[in-house]
Amino acid sequence: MEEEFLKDYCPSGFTLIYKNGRTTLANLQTDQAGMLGLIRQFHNLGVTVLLVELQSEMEKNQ
Amino acid sequence: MPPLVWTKFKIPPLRAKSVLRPRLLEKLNRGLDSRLILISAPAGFGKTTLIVQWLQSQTLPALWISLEETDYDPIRFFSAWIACLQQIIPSYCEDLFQVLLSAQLPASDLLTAELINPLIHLNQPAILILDDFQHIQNPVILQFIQDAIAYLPSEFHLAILTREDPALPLARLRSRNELVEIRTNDLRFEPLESSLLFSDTLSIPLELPMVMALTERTEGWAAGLQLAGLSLQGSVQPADLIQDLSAGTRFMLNYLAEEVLNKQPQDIQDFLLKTSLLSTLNAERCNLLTGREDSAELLEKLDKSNLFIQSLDEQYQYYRYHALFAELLRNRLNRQGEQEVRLLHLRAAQALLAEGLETESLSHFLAAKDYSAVVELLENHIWEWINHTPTAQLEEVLSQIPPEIQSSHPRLLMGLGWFYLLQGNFPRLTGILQALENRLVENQPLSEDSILHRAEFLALQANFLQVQQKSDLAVQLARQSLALMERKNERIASLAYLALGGGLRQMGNYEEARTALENAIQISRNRDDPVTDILAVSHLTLMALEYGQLEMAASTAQAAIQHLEQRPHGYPAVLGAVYGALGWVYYHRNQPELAAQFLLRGIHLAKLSGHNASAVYSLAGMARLHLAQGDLNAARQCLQQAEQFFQKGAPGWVLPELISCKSHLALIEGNWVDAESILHASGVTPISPPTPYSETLLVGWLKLAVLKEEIEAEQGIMELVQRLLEFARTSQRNYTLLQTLVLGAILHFKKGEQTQARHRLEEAVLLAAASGYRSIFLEHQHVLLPILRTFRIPALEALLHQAGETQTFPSPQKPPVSDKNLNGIALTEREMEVLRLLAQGHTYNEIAEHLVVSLNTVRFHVKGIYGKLGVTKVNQAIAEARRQGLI
Repeated sequence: MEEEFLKDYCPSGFTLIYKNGRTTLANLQTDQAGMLGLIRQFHNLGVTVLLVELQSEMEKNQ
Repeated sequence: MPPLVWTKFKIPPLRAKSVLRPRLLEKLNRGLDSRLILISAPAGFGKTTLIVQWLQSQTLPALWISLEETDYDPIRFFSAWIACLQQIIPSYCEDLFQVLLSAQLPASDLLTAELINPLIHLNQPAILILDDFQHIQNPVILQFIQDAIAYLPSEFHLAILTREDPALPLARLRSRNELVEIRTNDLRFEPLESSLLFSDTLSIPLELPMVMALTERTEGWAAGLQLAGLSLQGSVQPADLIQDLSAGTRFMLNYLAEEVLNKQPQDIQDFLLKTSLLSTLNAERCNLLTGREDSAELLEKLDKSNLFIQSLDEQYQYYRYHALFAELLRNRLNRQGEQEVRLLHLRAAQALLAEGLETESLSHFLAAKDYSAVVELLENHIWEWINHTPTAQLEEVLSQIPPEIQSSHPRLLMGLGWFYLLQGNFPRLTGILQALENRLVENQPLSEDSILHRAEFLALQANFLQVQQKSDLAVQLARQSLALMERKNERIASLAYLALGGGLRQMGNYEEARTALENAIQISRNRDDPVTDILAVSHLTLMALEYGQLEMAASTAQAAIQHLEQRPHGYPAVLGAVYGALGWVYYHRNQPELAAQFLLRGIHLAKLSGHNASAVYSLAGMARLHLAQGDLNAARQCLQQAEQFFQKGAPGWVLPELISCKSHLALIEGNWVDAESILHASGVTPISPPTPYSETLLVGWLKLAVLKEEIEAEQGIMELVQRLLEFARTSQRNYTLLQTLVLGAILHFKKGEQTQARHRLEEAVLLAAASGYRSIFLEHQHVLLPILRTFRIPALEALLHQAGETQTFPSPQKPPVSDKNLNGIALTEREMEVLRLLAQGHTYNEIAEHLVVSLNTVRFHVKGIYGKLGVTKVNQAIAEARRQGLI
């Protein structure tokens, strides 16, 4: 995934972390329709989504 | 492709009592200043109702496309886009629409340009709503939408309604303030709006605390609130419902839907479940599915009771269930067992079939696993569907039919064979032909049906062989096909005649090829089969050109264009094959404007339809026209494109003209080495025997010989002239005869044989006068004019003079100056200086003064120039130097 692509398609404010061969997109502030669209797009691009996790406000502030 | 039903473009009517949402309408108004309006939220949040309310609140002309699952196919999507926009621009993308209706998809860059360019200068505001955009995942469509957002004029607004965010660069649009979006949180009903829904729309008086509690429990979800309201219309008490909803009911939708359904009378429940299979409902379909006779009244009643059914027209004839509700109903129906569901699908299919909706009935027959009905439909409509249904869609249907059923139906196999032949999928076609061969052998002795099967099999094989240039065998099988069926089936007969005509044309049998092709045209025109008609007409036109029948070529092509353009259902874009052939007629007549007009249209349609053969010959024609006008760069570009189309897959008979044009261009550029290599690479050499295939290339060798200073193997070339003349005369290939006469005359003249030269030219002039060819003389006017100074042929002089006013054919250049080419006689720097001054009109004295040398020195240099350029006079030296690009 290219960063330029992510900037065009992910909601603003997201963070991107590459670690141990995995890419983590965090702080994706969007709703169900936004998340579904994003996951489907990754799927259509052949990206394997390993985990989708809800990040609570508390976790974000920590 | 299946007809685009008008309901697809219909803005859904708004219910009389829907809750107005001013805060959201205001936001949508702001969308008119942005590039895209996006309403993105899960099902049941009121997206459609909101946008329809907004459309009613403003004056912009609105267009609507309800997208469906099958619109993932670009052909279907773009057809719908064009059909929709033709409501405000009737001529919008007419050619492209015909191409899409023929189930062909042009390259995406061409497609985008075709679709967007006409809208750029649209001086009319409009808004286009794409509803249910979540079905669109195809990258070609998504890229087009992205381009449309970027390039459409500001007066043209685009709104997307979707359950999930589309794969478009929304973040980028947001950051540039080019997007106005309404999302789930915006659409959630606020308590005041819920209150209006209950009181005004559902006529349920509820106290505000109850309304607030229900709004909270449903999280402002419009469908949930409506279902809750419908539950409350029965005996359920608001407090009990709220309690149930808050008692950890995880699947609120199911809970509410069950509540709503269960409170309906049993016959209504039954009606809702059984009709849920239909994507569009009307009274007849519902009657057939349910066995009732009062479906019309019932549908109206359901609509009035807000039961998630939506009218699609003002006459209340067509309806559909809200997607969410339909899904629930179908899930519940599935619980009733596979047998029951299959039976209902069968009834649905029969109902649609009764309305003549064969394509729509297919999916229901497939769901009912009624393969015999599917096969019967395919067998009866395959020819029509291969011309009009997107390949992917047809392949999807075919993939659902078990192979053993496919292989046991020869008519279906035959249909598949034509499908793969038109698709250019030759490996699959070979497999089908093998399966058919086995099958037809099993069917001995022959019944009437199996005779027709064998005849069609032979016609299919013959057309395949004709494309592969195996003309002898193609002709043999086409004849066998025709003899077998004795014209009992016109579709097969026209296809067999097409293969026969194409094969005979390649074999050089004019009379029989003409009769066969005229038969193919007549039969296909009688039974309205435009594709066979067009292919036969283009063969016949091009063949008439080969035989010098310019008038006949023109009248055949013009009649076909006139006939096909007046078809009520439009014409397939493969008609470009006829336009291109007619362009060649005008080229030969030296009518460059008409030639360009028809060739360009031929190229345009060939690109759209992917008809590679006509793309190659139309581009080669355009290259010839550019060469005639001296625009070598444009000619080169045309030939490069033609080469690319040939590589994509085109029959071999288009190749000689392409090679000949490439060689001709190289000659005009003075690149003789390349011109010769191009001809050599074709495999046809000056000693090859003349055939309908090799003749054009052999003429190319003559052109090369004409321009060479010294004719290598001179005798060989003159023998080639003789052989070509004999071949062309014997076989009546008058265009080759004409070319050989002109080129032969020039070669004779170069050899000092003036009498022969004159005779050849006089014959050529007579032949051209009878047939209307003019450009052939203009192509060689640079060498014919000096010849005509030696002996006079008034008719040719008049022709060159008259035609030369129309366009100027450039003189071929000699090879560029280099030491190697001039063999040690290149001009010295001083000679070049003298030459330039001579060209500027200076006298010897002026040159001597200018160069500060003696008059004798100038004379010395001039003598050197004359010797090296092979001239004897100053004006000849200047002309020769200009020709060589020295000055």
